Amino acid sequence: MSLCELRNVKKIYPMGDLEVQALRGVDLTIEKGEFTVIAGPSGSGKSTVLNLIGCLDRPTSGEVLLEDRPVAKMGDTELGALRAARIGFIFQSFNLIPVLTAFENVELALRLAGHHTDNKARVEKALRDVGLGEHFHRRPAQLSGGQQQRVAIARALVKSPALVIADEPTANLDSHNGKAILQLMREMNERDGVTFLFSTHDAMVMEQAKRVVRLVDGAIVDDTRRAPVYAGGAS
Amino acid sequence: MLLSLALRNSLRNRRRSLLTATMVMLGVASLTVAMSWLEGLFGSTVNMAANLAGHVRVVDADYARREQLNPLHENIAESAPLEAAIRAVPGVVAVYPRISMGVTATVGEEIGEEFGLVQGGPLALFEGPLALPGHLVEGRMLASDDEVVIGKKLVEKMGGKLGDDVVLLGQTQDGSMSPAKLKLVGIVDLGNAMQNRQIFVTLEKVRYMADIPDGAVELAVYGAHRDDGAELAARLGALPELSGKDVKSWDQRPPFDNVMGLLSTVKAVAASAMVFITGLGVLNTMLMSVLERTGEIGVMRAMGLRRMQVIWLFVLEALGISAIGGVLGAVLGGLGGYWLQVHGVNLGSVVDKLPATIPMNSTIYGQVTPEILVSAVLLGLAMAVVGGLVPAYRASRIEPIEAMRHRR
Repeated sequence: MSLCELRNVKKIYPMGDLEVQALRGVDLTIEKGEFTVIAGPSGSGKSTVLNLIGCLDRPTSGEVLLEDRPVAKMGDTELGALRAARIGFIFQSFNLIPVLTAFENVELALRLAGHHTDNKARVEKALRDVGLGEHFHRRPAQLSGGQQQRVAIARALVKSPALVIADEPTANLDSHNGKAILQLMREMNERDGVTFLFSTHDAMVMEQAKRVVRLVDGAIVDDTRRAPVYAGGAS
Repeated sequence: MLLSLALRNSLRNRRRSLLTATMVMLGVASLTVAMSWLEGLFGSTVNMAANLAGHVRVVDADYARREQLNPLHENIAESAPLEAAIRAVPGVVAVYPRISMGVTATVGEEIGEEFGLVQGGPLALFEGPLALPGHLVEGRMLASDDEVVIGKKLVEKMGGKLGDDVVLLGQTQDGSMSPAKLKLVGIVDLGNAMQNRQIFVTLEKVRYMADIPDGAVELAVYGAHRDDGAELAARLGALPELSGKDVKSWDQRPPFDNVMGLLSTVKAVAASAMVFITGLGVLNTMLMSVLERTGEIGVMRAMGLRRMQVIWLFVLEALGISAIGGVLGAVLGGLGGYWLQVHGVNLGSVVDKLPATIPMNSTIYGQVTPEILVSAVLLGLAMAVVGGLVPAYRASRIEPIEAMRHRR
């Protein structure tokens, strides 16, 4: 069983009187345990693919399946519950809630996924796993960019999702922190079998991927599975 | 979780939240002062009116129909049996026969040009519900049928003083001239010029003047509280002895049958206007918050926050800010109302033009009640709901995809 699947998916955005075709009949299957990068230039449709797989958007035509369930037939509430329980998100700008501490940001994801009790141990473990055992009670403004992205990773992973979607997760980090974050995600992929799906322009991220899917003008032009080049020296 | 997040969000942009809370505070404070003043204004006026006319008034039905002409012949010729029947009704505390009549008044023998309103009744009426001894500015209360107590405006107009003989010229119930010569023993100040044109004489004297030897024009009935008037009137109306009589509580008769509705309307309009205006301020603040937090809301929506939870998040934030502003506003308004309660506001000659049926004091004092303070705080929260709902709804329409689009 594949984790998610796009079948002949098209996405058209209206732009005033014009229509922009963001995806032109994309077929894509993501298997469990993959560490996949969606690569391509700006406007190629990377974010649209992530939005559709992340159940944040619906296709104009074609079919999106998540764990063999057709997303198109789900209502907003069902989709929200599905996202909360099965999908973790990591954003380019971290997007932590500024008034909550690192601990609370991570706990929020658990609560929204329906876990209201006995969260303490899970949250602490998630934060320790990303190397933030000492920063539970700091707010995002008191953390560096790399630390904020680690909190975001902990937030995405704490609920043990089937899939983690990361939208250019290293774009706002320096190369040192970027490598460290990638290393961390790779370790989680290798150790825990967490499935990651990235969008990026970053060559370093592509080097880490087990699979690179290249998009140009809304169509897949290349889909390569290969052995990744491990980034060492992460801190 | 939502509550904690909402409260923290309310402290996020402290200057803006402070501004909003201040707006709510001023709104609630103004409303509290206005309500206190209105309560004092209507409360004291209504109290005086109810005390003056009785919680329930019993008159002949024909008298009620032509009351403005003061038809003395439409009287209750034998009042004692009715008084006894009324006293036996549960809830009745007192019943007083009384006669009111217009007269000219002068000091000395000549017929004067000053008009006054004679109020004749038992001393217990004057000393009890009308509380005349408390209004005496000179002299004393009545001790015999040949004495009179007069409002100070009329005394001034007549050029009289204590000890003077005052000649009143009225009419009997059949229209004959009816003079009376009485000694001025007391001068009262009843609050405004119209009230201060009243002349108080004993029941026996007014019966003699009106030639209604055993009766009265009206029976003023008092219960434990003026608010029980309508209920008491219904009970009295069922008495067979009062068949053919007009039995109405003070608030069922003009002008208070309309005034009480007007009071409620004035309060509701003032409260609605304040809620609307302050609600606009809250709306502005919350809209700015929604715009600023579009990405953040998108993230939470992407993580599974439901639309209704988004609405609650913003409404709770507005409620938090408004609760602080509302409580402070109630305290501030309460202090303002208390100042009005102590010092009052002098309305001057405006009050003097009011009819005698609206016995309003020239100086109106506020009246702060717990109900006013609680309702002011609740209205402050209503301001939050009014101002917070639209932005909250707007926030709830933010799609999770905004989390991906948003770049800070």
